[in-house]
Amino acid sequence: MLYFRKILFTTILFFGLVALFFNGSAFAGADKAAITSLYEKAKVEGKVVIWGPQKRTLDWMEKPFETEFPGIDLVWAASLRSTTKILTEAKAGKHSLDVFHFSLTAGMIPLNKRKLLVKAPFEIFGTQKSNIWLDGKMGLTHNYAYALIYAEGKVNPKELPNTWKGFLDPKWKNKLLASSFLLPFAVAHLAIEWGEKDAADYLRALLNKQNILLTRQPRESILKSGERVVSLADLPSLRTRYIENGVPSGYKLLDVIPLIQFGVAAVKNAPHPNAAKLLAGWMTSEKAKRIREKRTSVADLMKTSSSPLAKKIHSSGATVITDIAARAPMRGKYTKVMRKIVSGRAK
Amino acid sequence: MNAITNAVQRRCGELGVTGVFVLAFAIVAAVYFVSAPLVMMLASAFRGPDDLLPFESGADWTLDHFTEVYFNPLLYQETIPQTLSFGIGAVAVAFITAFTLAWLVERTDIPGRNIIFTFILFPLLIPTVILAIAWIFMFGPNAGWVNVAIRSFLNMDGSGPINIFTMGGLIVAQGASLTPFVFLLLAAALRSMNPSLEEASVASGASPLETFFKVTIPVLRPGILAPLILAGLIAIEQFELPLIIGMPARINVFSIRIFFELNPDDQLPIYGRAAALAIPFLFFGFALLLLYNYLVKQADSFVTVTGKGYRPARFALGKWKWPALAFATTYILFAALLPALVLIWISFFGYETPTLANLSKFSHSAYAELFQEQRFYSAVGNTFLVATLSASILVIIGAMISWIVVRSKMWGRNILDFFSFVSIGIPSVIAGFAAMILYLSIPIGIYGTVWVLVLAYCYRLAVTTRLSRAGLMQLHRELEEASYASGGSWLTTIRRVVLPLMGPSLMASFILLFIVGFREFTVPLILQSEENMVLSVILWRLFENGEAAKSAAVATLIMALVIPVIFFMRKIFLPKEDMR
Repeated sequence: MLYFRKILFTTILFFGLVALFFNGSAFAGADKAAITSLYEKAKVEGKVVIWGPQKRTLDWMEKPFETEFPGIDLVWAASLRSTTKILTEAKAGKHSLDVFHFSLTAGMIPLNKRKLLVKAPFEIFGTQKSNIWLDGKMGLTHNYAYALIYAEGKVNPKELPNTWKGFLDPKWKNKLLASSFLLPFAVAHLAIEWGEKDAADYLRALLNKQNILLTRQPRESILKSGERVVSLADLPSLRTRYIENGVPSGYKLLDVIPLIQFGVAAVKNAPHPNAAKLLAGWMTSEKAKRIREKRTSVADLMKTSSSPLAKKIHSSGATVITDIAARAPMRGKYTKVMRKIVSGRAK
Repeated sequence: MNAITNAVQRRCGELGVTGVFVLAFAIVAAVYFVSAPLVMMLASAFRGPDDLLPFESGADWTLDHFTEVYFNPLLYQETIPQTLSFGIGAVAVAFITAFTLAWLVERTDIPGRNIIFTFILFPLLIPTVILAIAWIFMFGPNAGWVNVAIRSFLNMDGSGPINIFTMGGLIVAQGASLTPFVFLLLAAALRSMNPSLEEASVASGASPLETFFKVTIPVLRPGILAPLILAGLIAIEQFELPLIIGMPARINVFSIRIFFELNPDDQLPIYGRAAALAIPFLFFGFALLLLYNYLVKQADSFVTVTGKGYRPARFALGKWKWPALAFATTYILFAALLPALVLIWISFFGYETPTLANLSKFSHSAYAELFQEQRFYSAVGNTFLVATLSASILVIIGAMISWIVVRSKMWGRNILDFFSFVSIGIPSVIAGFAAMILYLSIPIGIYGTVWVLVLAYCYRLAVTTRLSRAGLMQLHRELEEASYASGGSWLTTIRRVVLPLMGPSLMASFILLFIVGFREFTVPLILQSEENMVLSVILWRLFENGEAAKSAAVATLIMALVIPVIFFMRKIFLPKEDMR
């Protein structure tokens, strides 16, 4: 009997520690008192307006945020040119956005350069210092990895090359498609690894020899029709969406994996400043990251992340190119070159 | 007091004080609506560098955008030749198709005219992206349904034979999508035409073909040239089809260049370079306008509506009824019905292939979720308000501007005409940006409200002034003179004589601008707030989010809301026809 009591006690202790670890890690390092104090100030404001590039980057958070912080309405601003809007409104002394959620180079750096972002207390939500950039103004939220998505049933995954250059094999001619928006970014990252000339030649070969279909329309519609069977430079996290839209698909990581960094920041002169800091901070917490991954398949893919896709990426043996502020000028320069080729402004 | 009143009235002449005020108001409104986007475009073209907005401190005057654009040899080797081929081809396809359809609907006894008229306008209601998806589904070289059927029938291997991703494919797709616009404008002109001139020609022994080329076409010249000019400018300004169908074929037209400058995705939009690219549209438009004015100089030659009454005659098609119906049906099937069916299918089935087996995957959840959102209902109300008001304002101002250009001897009326016309060359993103800056700067408190959308939409004067002008040129002055002679004031004459006779042109303008107002998404996205949400913004949000079924559901509902408006407007506002 004593033996079984010991076993029971040990088992309970073990699982209790596991539960504590997992629950605790969601708020590990979090300063609950500081969060509560910020929440009390934000509740008075009653609302927070966030801009993100697509509704799906924000849909997932409305209920969890409003459940955890009742009394604060989360509203998404759908403006097309949000950076322009923030700058134009700032110049006129008007401010309608509280929180800005976008990639490092496309939005955060231009706004930071103009001193339109403010520091937010990310650390009180347990966010690690390494995940707080731009002098405390930007908290990291998630990444997108460039890889490929293929139409299940229309291509044998075993025949898919393991490398980007493998798709220059003639057998892939007229079988590839890519987003005209994503492809130049992806190849700009490849240029960091291969050099500008090599990457530009690769891009030209894809366009001119492989006849890759460049598109701005939903790529899953083309995969579904069978017009093309592999979407190169696509994002594995979008696979869930493709499947929801009736397009069975798989993904494959290649020899070089560019990671695009997304983050969140509170905007200067926000109409709801405390709510802005509360939301921005919450979005960088482990809890929010887990909810995001569960609901959208979009995750923090850095080495420190516990996401299964992050682990797969960093154990694949591939060269992982992360998006960091120091690389932004070089990547920007390569992106301009690749976009010129894609848009026909250069051969 | 009487002396002052008499003096004022003498100065105002036949217009009267009220008439002067009305016309002055129309001029001020026209200049106001077009100025902001035009000035923004012209100023931006000379402001740089790339990584600053035109108004930011640090931005300076520069010619860099022009040197970057116009010193690039690819512009002359590829962009300009491809743009010209594309523009001329698309307009030719659109014009031939639209003229034939307009002739059949307005001048013959083809059965089901009102239904055919409504269906022809479908492509205007369907988002261009969906049109492009439908074309690719049908004519994609590898898996397009038509190609698969042809290959199966002819026992062929490989891809094709039809490839939508070619210049020819793009021209046909763009031509088909431009047809409803040209059709609407031509139908208005054909409807107003007095058949007595054609009857006199036939009675004098001319064959129908001779009558057509020697009487009908010359008399309809203003009514034909106006849509040709507008269609030409719109064809080369549109970017959606060139982006989706042309880009895979490495077709690089002007509009794609402008699109990439305004959507760099990794930095701020380069408004300056986009403006530098768009400026040739202004010169091109100016040249076309000069040509138009030269060709329609003898205004009296184009009068077909006089004091003598006439009965609109319809040619009896006889044995040609069935080929005519086949032609109309073929166009409606490929350009209108199939894309509409693709849209409706996606709203219920996502991207599932349309097969019997997939019918079991039917789901109306997209509609159910939409109807549960309060935001949807306020968006419907906002959309109707903005589309109706902006179309009405533009139609009235357009009619007044046309009267000034055609009937008055006011100094500067040609400048006014050109000014109203140039709006067609202004990209809608620049117009939206200009509206944002203007209404943030003017302290009238409408920024972020639905009223800012009404005003921002009103820069599209080109369509309504062209149409109204063509319609007014068909009316003989004697009709107005008879009204003045009977004691009618200018305002009474306009209200009770001129505007009713211009009915077809005004109705065409209204329908076109109403549809454009419903579909427009660039301007409301830039000026968007919680208060002024419209359906096109909801559609865009859902589409960008990858929610195919829901975005298709919104697009289907837009069609369902607009079609009855078109159908009943035609029934109510056009006079009943007599059949011979």
